[in-house]
Amino acid sequence: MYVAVKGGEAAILASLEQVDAARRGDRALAAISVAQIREQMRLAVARVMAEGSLYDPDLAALAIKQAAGDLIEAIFLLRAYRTTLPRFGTCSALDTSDMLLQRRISATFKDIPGGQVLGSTYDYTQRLLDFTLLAEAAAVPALEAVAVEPEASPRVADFLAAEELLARESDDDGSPPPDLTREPLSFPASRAMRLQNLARGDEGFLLGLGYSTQRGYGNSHPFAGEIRHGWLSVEYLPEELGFAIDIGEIEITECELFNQFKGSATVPPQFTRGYGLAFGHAERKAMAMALVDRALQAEELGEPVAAPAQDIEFVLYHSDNVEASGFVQHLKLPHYVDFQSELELVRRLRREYQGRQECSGEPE
Amino acid sequence: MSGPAAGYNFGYLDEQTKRMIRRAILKAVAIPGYQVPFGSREMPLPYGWGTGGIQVTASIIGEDDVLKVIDQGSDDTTNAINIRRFFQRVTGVTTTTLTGEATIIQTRHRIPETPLHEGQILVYQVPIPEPLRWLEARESETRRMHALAEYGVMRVKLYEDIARFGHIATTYDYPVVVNNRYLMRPSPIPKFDNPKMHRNPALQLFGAGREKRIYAVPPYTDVVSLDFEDHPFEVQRWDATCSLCGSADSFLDEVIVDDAGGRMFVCSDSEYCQRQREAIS
Amino acid sequence: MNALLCRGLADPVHDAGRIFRRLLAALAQPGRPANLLDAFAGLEDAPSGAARPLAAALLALADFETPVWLDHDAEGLVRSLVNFHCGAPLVDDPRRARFAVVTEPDRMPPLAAFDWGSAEYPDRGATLLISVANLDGGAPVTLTGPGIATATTFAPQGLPDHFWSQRTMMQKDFPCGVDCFLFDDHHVAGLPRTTQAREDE
Repeated sequence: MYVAVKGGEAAILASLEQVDAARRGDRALAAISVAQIREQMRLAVARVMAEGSLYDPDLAALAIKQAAGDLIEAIFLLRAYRTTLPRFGTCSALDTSDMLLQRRISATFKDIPGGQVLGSTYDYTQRLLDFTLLAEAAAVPALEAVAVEPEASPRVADFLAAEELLARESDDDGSPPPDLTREPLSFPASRAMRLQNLARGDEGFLLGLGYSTQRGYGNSHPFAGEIRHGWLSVEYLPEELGFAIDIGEIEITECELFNQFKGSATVPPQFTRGYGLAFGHAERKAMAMALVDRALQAEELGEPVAAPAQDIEFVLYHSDNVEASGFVQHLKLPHYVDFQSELELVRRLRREYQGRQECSGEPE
Repeated sequence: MSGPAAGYNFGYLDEQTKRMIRRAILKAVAIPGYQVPFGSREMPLPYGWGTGGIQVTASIIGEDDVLKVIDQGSDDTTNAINIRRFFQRVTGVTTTTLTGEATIIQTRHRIPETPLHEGQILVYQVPIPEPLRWLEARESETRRMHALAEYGVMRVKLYEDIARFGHIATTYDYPVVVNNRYLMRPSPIPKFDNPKMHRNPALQLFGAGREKRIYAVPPYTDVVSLDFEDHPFEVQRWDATCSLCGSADSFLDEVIVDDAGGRMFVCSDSEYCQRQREAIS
Repeated sequence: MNALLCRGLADPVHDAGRIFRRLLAALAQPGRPANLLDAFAGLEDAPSGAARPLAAALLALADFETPVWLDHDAEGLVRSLVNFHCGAPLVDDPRRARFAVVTEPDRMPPLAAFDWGSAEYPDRGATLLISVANLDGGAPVTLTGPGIATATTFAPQGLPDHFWSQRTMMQKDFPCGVDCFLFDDHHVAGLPRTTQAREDE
């Protein structure tokens, strides 16, 4: 006999307990601390901060711990917290040429003022599993900061722009930037709004889209003009004070890609720029973002818009992993009513179909 | 009744956000059926799970309100329980399962069987607010179509159904025209519920969080399901009656009772069913 | 969070919530006045008379995101309230206002002076907050449209005659248009752009 579904609340509470238990795992092992995650999983922390749109390594680490390492869940946690925070104002625009660099490479020039700094990168690790890490006690050398003085390393893009070989970015009319977390996306979407969307966008989604532009879906020929990673001061200018104050340092990764552009009726041939910026050390994200940013400029540059990565609405509406994850997974919610409606329809359509078959005398 | 959760504002949302949503709701009421874009916030529940309805409810709810939350017509489905639990935590308001006693009813996929009355507010959770979205994916294009009231494509789509099947093959989220102007998506309610929207004395608010739209149907407003003269709109009917309360005029869920094809039908609106049964006994 | 609270109201959270609900009810049921004075406990820096419920509505709805236009008289009445408590920017050009405050309806600019929004974004049309002598006892008009079961009689005192004819003209541009709230000493009545008014003989 059918019993109406009851006891849902008890089931939810029991489920919450199981979440906690599963997250903790084997209690014979020490619990991982938030500080350990912050220090030893810094790249996960970086991704959660970037896509969570909140620079706070401790809270990002806490979110990773609470989400049992599910980074999209951690991003969701961080965003849901962020949304409750008051907004005091907008910081002054960051000037990345002032960065205290940890790493900086250019694939366009053999040598550049300030030099190439390899820094910390997985690029040349050869990806052999390091079994010594299984032994907890293995000694690791402490990192010595190899910071390059900021004034010694101007951005590569600025050299090219000085010669008019690279398009100048002239979007800034002094008006405050849009805030996607407070106003809905509208079209046509400004570059500032697009970049903001991409900065919050899912790394995997952007990676796939960026990759597609390299394989002919968008026809771009990018060069890694410069990738830099390091620390930068953030300044805020309170109106009542009249001068900027330093409110702290953040770790960021910036990528500028140069793309060939043959010119149009109004614009001479020059290189154009794809721009990527992410919190923390996140080169893959910054590069993928730069590829997609450039692809999204197709319409403005008079290029054909044919590939998915060039389609502004398509990209901006599907880049957000918290939105995507929620909507994909909402299919788990009950849909009894809609399904009942469809069931009734399909039965009716089948009856009508069989009726037609019988009338025409042809066996099915 | 417990007080709202410490550390959070009444209703979870901050006051500036509430004002922004309230302004959007007022414009939605002023332009029935038009989707007002709003700065949807990131809620602590997932997108697609009712964040739009939750933001609307959080912006209108006050201490004296009595809240009912249903999903698939039932107060007892896990998502309904979870949203009710959320509002209990962040507002401390009284909740109820009784349709007649609620001042605010948040719903996913159903309109209660019990007729609503003046002063009540029905808040729908909406996954995709744009009725033309399956026909035209682009927001810039659908916005233009609404501006010009250019809804021919929807009529063509329904007519193609008739040409192919002999009748319209849309059973839920069935498009309506509000106040003789805007084409509107009623959210995925079964078309069985569409007639209840027409000139309903209650205020109907629709929230789509992920898609960042709010729209409304004021009380006593015309809501007409699209149809054709030779193929008038009609709702689902069942040969069966509810196995629990015997109701012959409520929306029925089909339940599989054994592995030999056994079926039974029960009311989707659990509170209505309960009251029918009480009335019998 | 305190910085973002709507100050001025004695209980910023619940007063604002109650005021909004009355405004919502008024707009959802046009021409049916709702009491606004008993929706809030107190109001700092508030003017008296019909401007008092109007000021309460402004506090509940306006903030730094909504430019406000004030007519000459309102400058004196609610300027400090708008500036200080709402933090709303004041604009001289009525076309740029999201909210327009009219305390001298006789001398109000034509409706066409305000933003009606666009066919794509009709929600951008302005909201007018108009104080009148009384929401009852004036020349009656018959209202019909969404929110009204059949028809309702509405008789505010102190609106200029051309107000209704201008609204009728405006409605040719629907969905573009402005929405109005009318206030007297105690009450608010809503007049969304959809409400049709027929002047009684």
